[in-house]
Amino acid sequence: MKGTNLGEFEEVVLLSVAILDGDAYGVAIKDEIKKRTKRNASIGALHSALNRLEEKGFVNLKEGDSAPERGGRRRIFYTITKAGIRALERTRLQRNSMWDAIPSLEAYLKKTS
Amino acid sequence: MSKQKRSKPPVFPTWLISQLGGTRHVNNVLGDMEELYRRRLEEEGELSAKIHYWIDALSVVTHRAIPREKSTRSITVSMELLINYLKIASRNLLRQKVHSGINILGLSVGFTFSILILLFVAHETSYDRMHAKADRIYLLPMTWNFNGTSMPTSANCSVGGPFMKEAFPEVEEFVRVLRTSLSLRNANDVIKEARVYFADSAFFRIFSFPLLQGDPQKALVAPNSMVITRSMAVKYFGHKWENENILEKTIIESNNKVYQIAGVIEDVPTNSHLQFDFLVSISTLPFSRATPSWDNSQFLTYLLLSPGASHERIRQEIPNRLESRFGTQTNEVISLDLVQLPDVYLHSTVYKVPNASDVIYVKIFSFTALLILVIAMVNYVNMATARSMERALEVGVRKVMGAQRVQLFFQFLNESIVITTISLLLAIAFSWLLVPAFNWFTEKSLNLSSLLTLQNIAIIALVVIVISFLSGVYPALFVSGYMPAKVLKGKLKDSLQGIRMRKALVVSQFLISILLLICTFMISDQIDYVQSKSLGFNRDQLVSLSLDSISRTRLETIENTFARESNVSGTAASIQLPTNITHQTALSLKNETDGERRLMTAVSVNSDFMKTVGLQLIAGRDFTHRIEQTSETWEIILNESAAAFFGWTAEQALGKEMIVWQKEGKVTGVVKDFHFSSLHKPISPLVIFSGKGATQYTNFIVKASGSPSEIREAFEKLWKQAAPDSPFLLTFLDDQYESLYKKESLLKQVINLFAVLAIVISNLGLFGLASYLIMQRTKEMGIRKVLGASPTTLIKLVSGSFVQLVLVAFLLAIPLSWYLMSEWLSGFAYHISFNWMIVMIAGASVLILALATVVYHALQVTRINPATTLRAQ
Repeated sequence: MKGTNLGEFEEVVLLSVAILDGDAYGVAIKDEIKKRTKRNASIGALHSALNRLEEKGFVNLKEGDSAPERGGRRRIFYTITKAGIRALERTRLQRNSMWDAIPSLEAYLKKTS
Repeated sequence: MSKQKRSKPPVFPTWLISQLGGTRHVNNVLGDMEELYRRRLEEEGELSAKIHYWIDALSVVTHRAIPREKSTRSITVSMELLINYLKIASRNLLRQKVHSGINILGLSVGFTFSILILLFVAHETSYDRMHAKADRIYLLPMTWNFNGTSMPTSANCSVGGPFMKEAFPEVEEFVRVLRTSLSLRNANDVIKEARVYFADSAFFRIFSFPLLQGDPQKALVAPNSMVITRSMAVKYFGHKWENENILEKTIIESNNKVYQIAGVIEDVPTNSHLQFDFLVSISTLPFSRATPSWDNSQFLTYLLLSPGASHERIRQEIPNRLESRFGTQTNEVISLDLVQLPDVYLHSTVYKVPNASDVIYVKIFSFTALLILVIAMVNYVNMATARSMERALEVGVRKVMGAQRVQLFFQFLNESIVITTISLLLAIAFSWLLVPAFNWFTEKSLNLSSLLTLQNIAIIALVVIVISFLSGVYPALFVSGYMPAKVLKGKLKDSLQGIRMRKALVVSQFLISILLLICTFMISDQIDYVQSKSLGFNRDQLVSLSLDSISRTRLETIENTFARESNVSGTAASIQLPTNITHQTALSLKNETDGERRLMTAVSVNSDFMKTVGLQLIAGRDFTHRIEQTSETWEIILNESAAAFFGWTAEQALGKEMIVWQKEGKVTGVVKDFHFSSLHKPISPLVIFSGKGATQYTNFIVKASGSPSEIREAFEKLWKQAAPDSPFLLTFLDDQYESLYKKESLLKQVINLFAVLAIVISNLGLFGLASYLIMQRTKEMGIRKVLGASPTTLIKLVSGSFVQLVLVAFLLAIPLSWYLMSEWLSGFAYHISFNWMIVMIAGASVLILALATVVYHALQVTRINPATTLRAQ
């Protein structure tokens, strides 16, 4: 079913939203990604991913107070929805089951090297 | 607060992003960007923060991070439509290469010349505005009135300026300027410097010519002080003059007079009617010349009025003050006028200010440029409407799909904007290439970059819009009005209205072309007439050498040296050249009072003048030999007109006594009328006189045979022997005579160029139109051919309608050109009559060209094998 699968970058973003637990807004998410994965996500890429997550119903939005350091604009905080958590779990399970299906990782590594 | 805290993110990307969608998304993204911006500002500095801000903005755009609003029509939607229109427009342009090429070529040629003319007009109207006080500076010209003859002159008498300052408290300053020339020593050479002004010390308080060195207050005070321009500083003191103290330097005149350099200014800008290289303090002049008097008008006089002073009031008050100060008689003879400085160059033609022009040339140039533009626009309209049939299907489909007429209208308008813009860009490139040639042609030094002012760019943008609109609106209305049902059924015919419109436009194009061509022919005919007209003496063999104060004293030596030469058949000396005698002098008969004086053209000459120039006496005798050295009273020779003016026959005039230059003289001869000034004016009374006290000759005239280069070479050698301390300045009277008609020659060349352009562009248009309309009739031609029509009949058939149009244009052009040319010719006292031959030639040549254009296409159509065109049916 289209729209329920998570793209790789979407997964990273959604995980960050979950980690930040209520404090997730644009710059905070960007910082979290940088801290955890050393990846420099561009603002454009980040927001386009957030918009997709919102469309798929994996995150909820809540407006915060206006902030002077944002030129008086409000922060928009993202929180993960139940559907979002299920999507993360599904992805994790998929990965795990596939990992498990590899006969022996070390043997596999030897074979390929 | 630190400076960095106040720094704001760049405005443009912020605006761009705010245009992308709804507020919520925009604010979310912009909030993040601003937060990051501030953080980077603290950590990495302003530059890095700004660069990253731009990168962020770019990433937002490329990732489409802001969803588009769906409900409202945002800018992006209409942008897409616009892009689609542009795409359609460019496809159409590419599909119809020949037609678009003709349109673009025509328009860009029109634009190119309009840009050049704009450049010229901008320069002409910018004269004398560089002075800070320009609106308060006034030229004080005067008019002499003697017994009904009035002579306006730009130069005032030496007393004019002082009188005005004394009489009116509003006059803050005055400056008198005397234009002259000096022979100056530079190393071992003697150079004649013709751009020398003597000026009062107020010069720099009135005009804004900033001094590079020297004190503006003192520079023109002491006698023999001289202010020079930068180029003269380089010429006389070398390129390193700036490193030295130039105020200690001197320049020496050929008669060993020493001038102290008192200042250096930048070269005078070309858009100043005051044109000089040297300024000399007026106190240098001999006492008698600058002493205030009403004797001789020789000083250009400028006044500086106090802020808020009314020049109108002053002008009205002048006669009263003149009368109370100098008496009734002076007031009757003299009238003064005020001309505001920026008006001097274009709007003071009656006073003939040196270096000034006439607004009529600006008008003629602008008008012809406009005509060319109109012709090019007409091409576009014609072809767009003619081709509209092809677009009819597109319009029908668009309409069926729900396009509004307004949208279609703008779509077609858009195409003309595209064409106009491309043509303009091409035109800018063309004019950039043509500026040097144009400068050579107009003798100006114009620069395309001077057009790059906000105002001019706005004008150009406006012109593009107006022209796109004018040329696009008719076709757009026309095409967008098609009924889709009819179009899609294929029942559309070229409408009668469209055909009429096109015919009218073609006629107007050819009307302009023929008109310009007739004007060109007439003007060159008149100029040829002027140049070949016998003046009453043979100017071909006459050469003039300029005399200065030193060579004048050695006149006899010079005469003897030249007389020995085998190709020299005579020499003479005079104050003015026989081709252009302009000096006016007050003259009275012996028993008359001062009040009965009248102004008359007069020239002082030596006794050889009549003989050498070749003037023909009809009564009396020539001057007594060496009269200029022997006689205290004048010997006078009148021309026929002068004798007639006094009511005498040639014989009666002999022996009459009159007073010229405050001295008595007797008429000894009468000369047959000859042309002594430009043919614009009828021959007027002329007094030629000779005797002691009028020997300030400025020209040594030699009658010589041989080629110009031989004469120049030989005479330079002779001159160096006879007058080694004076500059060698040789003029052929022929050239001097032609320079009297410089304006006319320029006019001729401009109209000539425009006539050619007009013909080329309208023929281009005709080419396009004919090719299209004839191709439409291919099938008809095929059928006619099958039924037995000969190629000649076919050609006659298709070209007939076009020839008709050109003929109509020709008939309309005849009365118009007759009117225009009669007006212009009446500016000459001696002119050709309106030449019908010329009209016929102009009409015939345009007709032949048009015919050739049409027949070319007609031939192609008739050559096609009817089988190919009719096979489809």
